[in-house]
Amino acid sequence: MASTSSKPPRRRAPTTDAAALASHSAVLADPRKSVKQRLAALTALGWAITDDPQRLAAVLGLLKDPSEPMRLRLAALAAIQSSTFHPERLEKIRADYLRALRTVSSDADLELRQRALGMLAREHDPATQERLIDGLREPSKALVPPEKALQLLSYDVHSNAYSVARAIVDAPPNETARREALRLLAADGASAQMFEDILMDKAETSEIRQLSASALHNLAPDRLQACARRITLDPSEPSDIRSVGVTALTHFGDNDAMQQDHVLNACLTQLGDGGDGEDPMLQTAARQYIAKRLA
Amino acid sequence: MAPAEAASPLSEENFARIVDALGSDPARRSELIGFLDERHSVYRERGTAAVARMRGWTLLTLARRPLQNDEVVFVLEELQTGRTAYEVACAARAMRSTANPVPAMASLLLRAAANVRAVDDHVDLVRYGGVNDAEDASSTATDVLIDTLAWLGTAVAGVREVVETALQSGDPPLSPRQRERVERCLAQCTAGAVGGPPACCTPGAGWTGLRRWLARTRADPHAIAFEDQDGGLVRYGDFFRGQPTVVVFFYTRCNNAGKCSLSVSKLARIQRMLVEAGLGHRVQTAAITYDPDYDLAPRLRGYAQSRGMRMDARNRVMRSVEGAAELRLHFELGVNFISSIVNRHRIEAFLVDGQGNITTSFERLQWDEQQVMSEAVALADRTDATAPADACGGTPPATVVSPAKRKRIWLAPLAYLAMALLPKCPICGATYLSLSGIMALPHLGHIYWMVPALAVLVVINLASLGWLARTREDWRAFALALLGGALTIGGGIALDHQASIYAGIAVSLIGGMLGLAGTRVVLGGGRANAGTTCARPTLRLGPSPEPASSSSLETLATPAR
Repeated sequence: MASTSSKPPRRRAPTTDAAALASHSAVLADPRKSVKQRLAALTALGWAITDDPQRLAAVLGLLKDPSEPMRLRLAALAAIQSSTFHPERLEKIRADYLRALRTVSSDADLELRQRALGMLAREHDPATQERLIDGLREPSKALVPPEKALQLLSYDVHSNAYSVARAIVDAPPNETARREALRLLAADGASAQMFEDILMDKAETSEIRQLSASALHNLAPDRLQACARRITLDPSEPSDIRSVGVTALTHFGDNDAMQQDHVLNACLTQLGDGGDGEDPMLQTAARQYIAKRLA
Repeated sequence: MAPAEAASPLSEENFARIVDALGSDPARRSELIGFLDERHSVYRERGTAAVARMRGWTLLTLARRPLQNDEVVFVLEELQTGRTAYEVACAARAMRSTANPVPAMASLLLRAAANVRAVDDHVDLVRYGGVNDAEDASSTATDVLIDTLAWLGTAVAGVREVVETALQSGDPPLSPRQRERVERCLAQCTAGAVGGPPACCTPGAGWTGLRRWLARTRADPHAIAFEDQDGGLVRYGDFFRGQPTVVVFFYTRCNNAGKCSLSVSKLARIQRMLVEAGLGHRVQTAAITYDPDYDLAPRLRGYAQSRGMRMDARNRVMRSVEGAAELRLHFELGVNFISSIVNRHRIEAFLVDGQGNITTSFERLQWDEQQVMSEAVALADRTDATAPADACGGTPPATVVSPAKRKRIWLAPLAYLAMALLPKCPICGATYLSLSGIMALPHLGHIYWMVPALAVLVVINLASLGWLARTREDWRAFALALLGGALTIGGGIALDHQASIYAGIAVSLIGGMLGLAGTRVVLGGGRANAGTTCARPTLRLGPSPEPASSSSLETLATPAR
């Protein structure tokens, strides 16, 4: 499309001047300069960090050096990470970048460690995945809390984390870790029965049962339909779980089977027409069912 | 789906030790190669990364000695489709053990460099483990690939243009040092030294061995039932009937773009090519998932649709709902699992005839759509030529000939020919079997009954030579044939050792010829009566040596640890 403006758009001048880049690099590497000055130099270097192997090595060295101020190290990590959003830039530096991340993934600082592990997990780094699993099996080796480790492992279905996640579901160190383990197992075809059992277990919390319903829909939709029907027809179930059941039947149920299910339809008609005593959320869900399936 | 099993008790450390020990013993090379089979029990319940490390180390160990042509295929497979830095680097290093570097290898190395550009990492090829985080370590997978390209030397000249184009386009992206190495290599090359692709680059139906035969006989494809992309159920015998089918295997969660996604896209292309050629009604297509627990009908449909596959009753994307184990056995699928997830698989495509029999398989290396289509159409032609027209289609023949009569028409001349050519005495039998039967069988790798057929032929050969030996009281020829038979059946079929097959054939031949020569001498030496025995219609079968004991057969049926 032709431009209607005679004035070219204003562009910020890129930091490509060799002398300026050398000056910024010198400031960044000088420990006598203040953290503020060094941070400013790092910002000024921008993506140019990855253009020169020596400059990259200097920033990676700063990141790995535990004697450097943590603010500066975190800023160095962010600067390198931002340049890796560009695939071609990442490809050029990838091997050195991963090696530096693996080094700082054992750093004493939890935030730096956690961020490095997050980046490595997103790259599906096998060594990182194995260290996270080791930490789940032996908490004394853990680099991050178990719920965080499970979250990072869930980035890759081939991370070999299903067996350890099942063990955590059975004997969780805390409820958050159990929830994350269930989230991870939502992609495991062999866990459908476990999710069905949890969904039908009234002793479980609503959050965990809803999560199980979602996982079961992912792994075995037919089994979710059967469970949803049982839950809907069971007045002793909490209203929020019954609402989940009705919603599942409304949106994912087999239409022919639903229309011939007179017991279910009578129940939902009664719920939809219910008086003030009925839970509004359940009532709304029942009305949606009637509108979609019985209209 | 593989049932969840207890984790393999063998640690990676011990695995590496075993591989090292096998690598130092040339006689146990076949066991080492066995570790490159995806189905090997050692990979069951291992993580994907562990499998990559183990296979990579096996490749490196294998390459401590010169690679044979049939071993190079594992290296080429990894270079062509590998997406892990360590395994690709191991394959590149292993390539340097090939006896005859050829230009096609340079193209594969560049392709591998492009494949690993998004997963490159520092690698350690000296110690088992793969990753090298030492500060002084500087070799990445791309470095190893470029070093191997330089090792190819003048062979690169044959693909000079390909290499130059890669350098100009920046794909794969190379560091200044890597670039300089490639340019130096090109400078050293002299144009004109163009070679053809190596014989090893073409996947062939090789000698399949007793294990494959046993596995296939154990599988009952009629126990297999599928669910298709629309939730429709179909049994194996009902879908694979009447027309040939092109079958590919895949799973939707495969993260290697060069394997499953590409296979389904190529199957879609075959569909389009068949339709464009007006042959869409003669060949069926099927994509079957390795991961039936997760790949439910809607996922299958979405995956295939997004890759351009046409789906209808004759073109389906399917998951097994019954007989998953039989499916793996029947197709001898190169796949292994950890829990419910595939941890390793190879590329595999098949042609299945109108009776549900596998006629051709394409394994490990990328298959060519045009070639697969041509073979499928040829199979359809053969099916049309032999099958009677059914009620649903096909032109009825002008003259109706009863099946029995048609059989007689074909059988009569064949019977005469067979009578003319069949050996009519033990001497002829021994010679025929030595010269043609045994020699030809190894090249009929895809025939599932070849193992028992070969065993029977070897026994007949031995029996006839035994009869001669007893008559002449000279057991040398028989002993040689016995040795040949043992090598062919024992080392060749049972252990899948190619060299044993050829050694067995050679020894059997010598035995046969010696038997023949001995008979001539005897015939000329006054035992003329021996000559009259040539006309005897029956042979006396002596005690036949067993090809292998039943217990050893059981052992061989499962990959060796």
